[in-house]
This record gives sequence, structure tokens and C-alpha cells, in this order.
Amino acid sequence: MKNTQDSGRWRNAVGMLGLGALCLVLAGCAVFGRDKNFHPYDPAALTQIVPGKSTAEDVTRLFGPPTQVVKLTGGNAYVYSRSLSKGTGLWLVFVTLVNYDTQYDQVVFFLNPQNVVTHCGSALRSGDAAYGLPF
Amino acid sequence: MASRSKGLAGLLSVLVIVTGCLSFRVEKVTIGPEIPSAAAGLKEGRTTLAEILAQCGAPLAVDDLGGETLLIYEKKFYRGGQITLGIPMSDVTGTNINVNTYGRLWRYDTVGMVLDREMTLKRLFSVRGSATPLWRSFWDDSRPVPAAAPPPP
Repeated sequence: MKNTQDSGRWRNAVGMLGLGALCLVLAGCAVFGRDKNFHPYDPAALTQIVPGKSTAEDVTRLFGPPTQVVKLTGGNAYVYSRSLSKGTGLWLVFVTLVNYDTQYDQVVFFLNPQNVVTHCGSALRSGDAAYGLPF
Repeated sequence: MASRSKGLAGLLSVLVIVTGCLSFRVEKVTIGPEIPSAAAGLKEGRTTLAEILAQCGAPLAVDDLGGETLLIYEKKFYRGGQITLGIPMSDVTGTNINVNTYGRLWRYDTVGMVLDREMTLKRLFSVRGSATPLWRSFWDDSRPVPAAAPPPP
């Protein structure tokens, strides 16, 4: 008789725990988001820029207006920048986990006072932005 | 059966109270790519701008330093945490009890390169904030001891 009662209590306790776990799961929610700072230039066009020959006009024809122009003593730098951010949020009852990753596509041209490209460099990393948890 | 109903009601009450009153938030933000290693073969007085761009890619920022050029490569790290305890009492006392505490820490990995007029690397400096311990970086408010003033001539 006592064993039957203990077994019943045990089943009740397991049921309660299961119900509690279900509440925890159902009370949670998640969000995935993308935040894009877009400038329409094609990084592949970088191959058409030849330092020492290409001019500022070639650069703006291929890449459009720069995001930023920096006046240097020996010329100018044209900076093209765009970014991609990926956000992940997870709400679990009373715990909120948020992760936000931002990566850039960055292209820089250095031009001499005659507006001829002397150097150019790129770092195309926006594709590396990732969803994840904050651990 | 009655005790089971009481237990269920108790469990649901606790869940409602806990979820309504106490919240804990953990945040992480990362901005930018890994910075180039300071030991990436860059040599002051020898490495040229073309070599820097080929090796490190485009910098995050370019600036003029009165004849010299500054390149900045930077990655930002943010960690935040927040605990909120709120007890809805407005129906009884006319106001709610709300206690909130938070901590936010930004750390920076930065490499700065100063190039001379010939676009050759003149100075290289870097700091790795992400390498410092999270907890100690947040709580350590100590300031560097100022150097003793030189004796008067």
C-alpha cells in the first residue's frame, strides 16, 4: 500500500517537473535579425583598378561616390565602406541572451595630387558576420 | 487530487511571479574583423603602404597627421549584463518596486600605423584589449601613478 502511494507521488513529481520544463520552453522565444548598411559597389571591379594608371574618375565610375574622402598631405584617400550585422536574441523565462556581430566590406584607394591611384586595398569580411550566442 | 491541483497552482504561480519580477540579460557585440598581428612581418622604416595593404587589407580608418598618414585597424568587443528585479505593486501602493543593475564593458583591439611622406611605415603601435581579463577590466579603476616632477633647475 505504501509502495503504491510512493509510486504515485513519484509520478506526480515527475509530471510536475515535466510541466515546469514545458512552461520554460513555451515561455521562451527567439529572434534572428540582419542589419545591412548597403552601398552598391562590386568588389570584383577592384581588378580593373591599376595603381599608377587608374584615376579618380575610374574609381568613381566603378565604385560610385565614396563613403568618405580623406584629405592627405600627398593626395586623397577614397574610402568605401558597407557593413552587415547579424543579431540573435533568445528569451528563456527570466534569462535573455543577445548576440550581435558586425563585419565590414572596406575598400580604400590612395590617390596622388594628380588624382591617379597610387595604392588600393580591400578587406571584404561582411560575409563573416554570424549568428550565435553570447558565450 | 486536491493536493495535485494545489501543487500545479503553486508551480504556475511561482513561474508567473519569477518571470514577471526577475530578469537577467547577457549581451555580446563584436564589430569588425580580427586586427593584423603586430608581428606580421611589418618593419618600421622598411614596410611600404603597398605591402601593408597586401598583407592587412584595407584599414578601418585613414587620417592625415600633418604630412604623415595614419592607418587604423580595429576590432571592438562589447559585453553587457543586466539584472532587473521588479515587483508590480501599483494596485496596492500606487507605485512599483524596481531594482536594476547593469554592467557594460567595451574593449578594443587596435593597431595604428603611421606612414611617412614616402608612405613607408614609420611607427607601429597596438593594443589588445580583448586579451585583458573580462572581470578585472571591468572592475579595475586604478590609474597609473604620475611620474615624479623633475627637480627645478
